[in-house]
Amino acid sequence: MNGRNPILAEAPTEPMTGISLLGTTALLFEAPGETSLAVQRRIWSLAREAETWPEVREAVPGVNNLLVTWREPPRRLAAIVERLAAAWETASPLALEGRTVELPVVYGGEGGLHMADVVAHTGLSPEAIAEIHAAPVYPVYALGSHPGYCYLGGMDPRIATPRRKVPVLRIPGGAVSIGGAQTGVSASPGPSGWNTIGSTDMIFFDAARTPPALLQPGDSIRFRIAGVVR
Amino acid sequence: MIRLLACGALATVQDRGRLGALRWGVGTAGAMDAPALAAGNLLVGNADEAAGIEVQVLPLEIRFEAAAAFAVTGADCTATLDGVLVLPWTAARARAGATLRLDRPAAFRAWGARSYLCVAGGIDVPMVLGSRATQLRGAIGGLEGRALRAGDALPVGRAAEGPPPGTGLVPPAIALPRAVDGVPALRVLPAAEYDRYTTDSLAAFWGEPWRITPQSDRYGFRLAGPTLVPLRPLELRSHGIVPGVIQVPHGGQPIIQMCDAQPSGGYPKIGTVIEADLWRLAQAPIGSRIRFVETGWDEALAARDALDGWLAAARRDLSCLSPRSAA
Amino acid sequence: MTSPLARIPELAAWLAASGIDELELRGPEGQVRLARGIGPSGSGGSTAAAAGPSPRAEPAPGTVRSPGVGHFLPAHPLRAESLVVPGERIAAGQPVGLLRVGALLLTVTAPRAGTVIRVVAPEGALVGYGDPLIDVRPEE
Repeated sequence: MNGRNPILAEAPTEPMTGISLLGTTALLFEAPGETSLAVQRRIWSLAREAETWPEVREAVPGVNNLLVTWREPPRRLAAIVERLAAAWETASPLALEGRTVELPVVYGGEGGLHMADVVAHTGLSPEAIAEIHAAPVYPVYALGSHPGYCYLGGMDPRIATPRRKVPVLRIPGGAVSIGGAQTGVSASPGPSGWNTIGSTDMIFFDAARTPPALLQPGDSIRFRIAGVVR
Repeated sequence: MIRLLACGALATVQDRGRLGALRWGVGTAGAMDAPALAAGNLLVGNADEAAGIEVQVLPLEIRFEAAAAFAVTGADCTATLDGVLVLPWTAARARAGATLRLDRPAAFRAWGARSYLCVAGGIDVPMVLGSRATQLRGAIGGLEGRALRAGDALPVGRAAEGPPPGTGLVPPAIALPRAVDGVPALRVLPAAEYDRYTTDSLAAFWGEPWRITPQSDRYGFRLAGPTLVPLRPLELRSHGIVPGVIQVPHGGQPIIQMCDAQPSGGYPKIGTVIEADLWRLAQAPIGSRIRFVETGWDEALAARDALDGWLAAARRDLSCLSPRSAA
Repeated sequence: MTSPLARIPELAAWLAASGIDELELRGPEGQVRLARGIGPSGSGGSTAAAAGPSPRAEPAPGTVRSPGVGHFLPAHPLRAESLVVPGERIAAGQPVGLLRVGALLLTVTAPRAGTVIRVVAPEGALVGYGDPLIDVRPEE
């Protein structure tokens, strides 16, 4: 048997690139370096490639990483690990031609319960936080967390606020929130450790629709300030 | 059709799970004890993809609006059909109008935590993204995407001929037992952040038993035991996860992600309970204890083969009993 | 692995005991149809196209005898309690034990109502067709 981390022991080619096991169900590829749209575009490219391999059920981008789930776990792990590492080396950025969706957001008030905490952490006014938050066009890096939820890139670090110590058991669908240096919009009610600063009415997921998720990697979101409630 | 007359919390329609929808942020859901559901389907002549009812909190009482074969598998419970005892993991037949009741088992410490009711033809709720499994968050699949409640009517699909009544299967808990010091032993493959924990933490992770806390459900099992301490604080970017992943939040008490877990996360991962042992975990009751046993890739595949072998043997032996007419 | 066809005697016996009229066995070597009471002999007993079991002894009224070859289990393996205990009144058709045959657990039922005197076969014992499992005093 191999040592503690069988994959790394078998993959001499790319010691800096993290490839690790998620049991016999999946494998996780983590790109080295900082999070950026350029790296994310290579992740999308790697996903396209890996998804064509017969042993792969799904290749799902995360933020700077890729989850590969098996139809049947490969008997020889080393071979596919080497193949994945090699595919990453040759993966060229995939510039997906996405749409930009505009979301009207009411910042603060009942729909933005934790605005006060973001104000306290950043020292900015709710209006300033709303303006900074609504300024960029956010590329959708990946989907995850819950049906239709988008991980967005490009938030201004000035409004970064740590995740809550005690997660909220239920935030509503459409909640716009900040967790660390990231922002996102919840697609359905559920628990969350992020700070909710506003709300929107957009429906991000409908299982009866094809595709069921409103947005996919390569699409973008622009937030429009529909109001700031103090 | 079957109708629910009484229903505790957290009874849901489940099948093998929704595979291939992670790209939309949709997790697998599905039966927590997949082999139990598979056995139930075999016992009533159903296809592998048929859905049954997963029951966590008893009692459950249903009325068969039409005659049907059925089987109760998974956790042991006291099952009665019109007051007559029905054996666990055994095919039985209900006449139209019959009432099946699943109650808390008489034994103080009965095996398991989740029972499965399979009905010939399967629970025929609409397929959503390739599966009938109920995913509560997002209200996908199952019956209106929610837990079942008294008064619900569930459609049943077209039944095929199944094994004769009185035919049962040896449960995997008997055929493939695995315990250390009388505590269920779950095989774990180390995950990405395994090496980022202190030596003492790793020794405790493998060496000590872990208690399943009341904050454990289809989303995840929160464990109580020694505190796991990372060498340095760990900050991860959001990435895909799967059922079985053992995350360690800041408090140092691990959480094992289960079938309804969100398909991505950002907590450090110390290991993953292998697929072949997830059913053991699913059947560990709240308050009970489990242990982790380190395994490697080849051993994990062998464990998977053993579980597949159990199911294949069941399928083969049942195929010998194919009644043309049941008296 | 034993072929399903090697289990014809035990399965035929179980078929008879469980009141099923007809059964088809499929294996790699071919298939066999077992029919009860409707075979060419038409005698009302069990008939098997390949090999029919012949009862060693006429069952005494009330006594539960093994319907086939397998390992006798007085309790379901998930449970500690036996299905029946001495002194217990049982109904016709009530499950009184199990036979473990490969991956299968076949229910043994009481042929008629009565009172359990004692469980004769030891737990896990390999029993053959017609072996007494449980002594029962039949109801008048």
